[in-house]
Amino acid sequence: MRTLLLTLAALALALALASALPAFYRTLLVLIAIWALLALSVDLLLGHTGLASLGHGAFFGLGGYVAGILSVRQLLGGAWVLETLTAVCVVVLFAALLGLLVLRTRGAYFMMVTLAVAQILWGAAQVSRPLTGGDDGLRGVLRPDVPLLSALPGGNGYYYLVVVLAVLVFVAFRFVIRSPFGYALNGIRQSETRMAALGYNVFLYKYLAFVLSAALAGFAGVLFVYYNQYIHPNALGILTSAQALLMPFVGGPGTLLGPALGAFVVILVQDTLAGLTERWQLPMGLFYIVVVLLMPRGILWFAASLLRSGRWRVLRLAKPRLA
Amino acid sequence: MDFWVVQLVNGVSYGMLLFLVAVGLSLVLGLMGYLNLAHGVFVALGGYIGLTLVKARVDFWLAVLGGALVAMLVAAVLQQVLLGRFHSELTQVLGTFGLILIMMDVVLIVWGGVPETLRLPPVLNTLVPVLEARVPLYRLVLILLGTLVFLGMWWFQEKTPYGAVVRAGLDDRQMVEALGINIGLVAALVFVFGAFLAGAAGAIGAPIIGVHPVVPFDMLLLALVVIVVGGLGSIRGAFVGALIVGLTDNLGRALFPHLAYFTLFAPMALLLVFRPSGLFGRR
Repeated sequence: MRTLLLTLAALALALALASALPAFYRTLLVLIAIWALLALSVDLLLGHTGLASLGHGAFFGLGGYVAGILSVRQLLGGAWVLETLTAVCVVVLFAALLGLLVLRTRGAYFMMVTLAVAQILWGAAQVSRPLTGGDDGLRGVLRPDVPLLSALPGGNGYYYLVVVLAVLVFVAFRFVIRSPFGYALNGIRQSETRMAALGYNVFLYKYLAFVLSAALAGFAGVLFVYYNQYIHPNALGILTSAQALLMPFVGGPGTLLGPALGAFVVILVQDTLAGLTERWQLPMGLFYIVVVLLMPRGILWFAASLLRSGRWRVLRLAKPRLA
Repeated sequence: MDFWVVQLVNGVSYGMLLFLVAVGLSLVLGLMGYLNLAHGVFVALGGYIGLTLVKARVDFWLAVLGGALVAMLVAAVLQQVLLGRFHSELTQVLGTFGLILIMMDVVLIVWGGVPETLRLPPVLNTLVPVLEARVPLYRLVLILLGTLVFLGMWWFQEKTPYGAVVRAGLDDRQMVEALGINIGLVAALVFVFGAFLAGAAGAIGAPIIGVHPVVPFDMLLLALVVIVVGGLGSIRGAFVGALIVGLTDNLGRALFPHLAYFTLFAPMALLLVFRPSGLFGRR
């Protein structure tokens, strides 16, 4: 009951915020919400299971491309719910096969392999022009039309749809990490051998977390392709993957709000830089390095250590820890 | 027949380039567990410096040396100033990724984003008959060079007391430190030498793969696949892995141009199934 009320309150608050903002900031908020979902999916592995994936762009981009191709060719009659479901299913299938391979590695090796897989998909998207449009990207993706929500200010129902979906995913995510499954994942992060000794099937838990995380990343990718109405191979590439890993790192891995906060900060910084100068890569690179040097455990932890206050436990900050 | 001879020569010579790129990354990863994503930047740097020097009418091999030395110098400075400050795997990956962004922008500012190829001196730019086919002399020179570097490194590591330190460090770093050897210094030297080879590969490879702003990412991907196939921290592994990847990538591009990148995935997936630590991996 309490959860339901909280969910409704969060939904109302998010919708109110989105409709109160000027159009430009509403667009930005929606972009941040999409990236926050991707950051959350990375954090299921990073902050909860203790696996740093450097290839989440693969799932993000794959979901985006499948939905985009379905939409451009009108293969499902333009029904966005079906397009989304198909795209997420394809990503789940891909991750279910890939997980069997990549979860045989750990640590730096896991990062290498996930990165290599994502880069291979990136290259494949560049090469297979008939399907993906190659380096020109895929144009002409149609945004879902949401009748009820388009009555809100701005008249763009899709933006509000993203906000609603993001809130719902966050609630569901909280549910997952507070379940026995979620606690088992946190146990695996702290000590794989201990969990194995307790009789948990460590591989199975990691595998399920991997597939679930991929599904969420794919879902974020679908929202992303509708948002831009366009997708480029770079959505699959190392830039996306590294950014998706940076977000939970910046916010505070293993916390519920950390990844969203990280997405907020990173997208805001990137958007500001891109608005100021064409050479945004150089200052963005500096941003990566400064964050890593100054706040190796994320903003939330950084703030908490500054405040030294117990009240921050509200944010599940009792023991944020790196993988 | 000629087709296969040409493809074989192309694949093997490409593999030699990949060996030069991957071996440094692999050794540093094995010694310190340090995953340096910016390794491909050294390749790009070597390529651009080599290109600039050749345009300034410097002798080709001197230009290669220049590219390698500049890459080495940059690596040494970065190693001293910055890279040592990233302590966990995660900070290393994110920090070195930030470094890629910075360096790529610097490269764009200095050289612009237009892909260029380095022109070979006329002496090297000829075809020689091999069996029934005619293959570029330069490719054969590359094969010879790569093999010599491999044999030299292998000899150094297996037969000299300094190589023994590196081998010991790959096996058990803490024990080596306990014996009073500064393994950090050893790793730093290996890192700088790896950057030298990567820079040389950038310049040597410039007539074949060209120099363009995507080089750091392409080379990083190929080097990672080489390490996964060959096994981490092994010179032999890097050599065999580079040959396998060079041959499959080259054949894949020639036979199935639309599946070019998937042919890279195949050897990696096979290795992960049957030998997750790679062909010559230590763990």
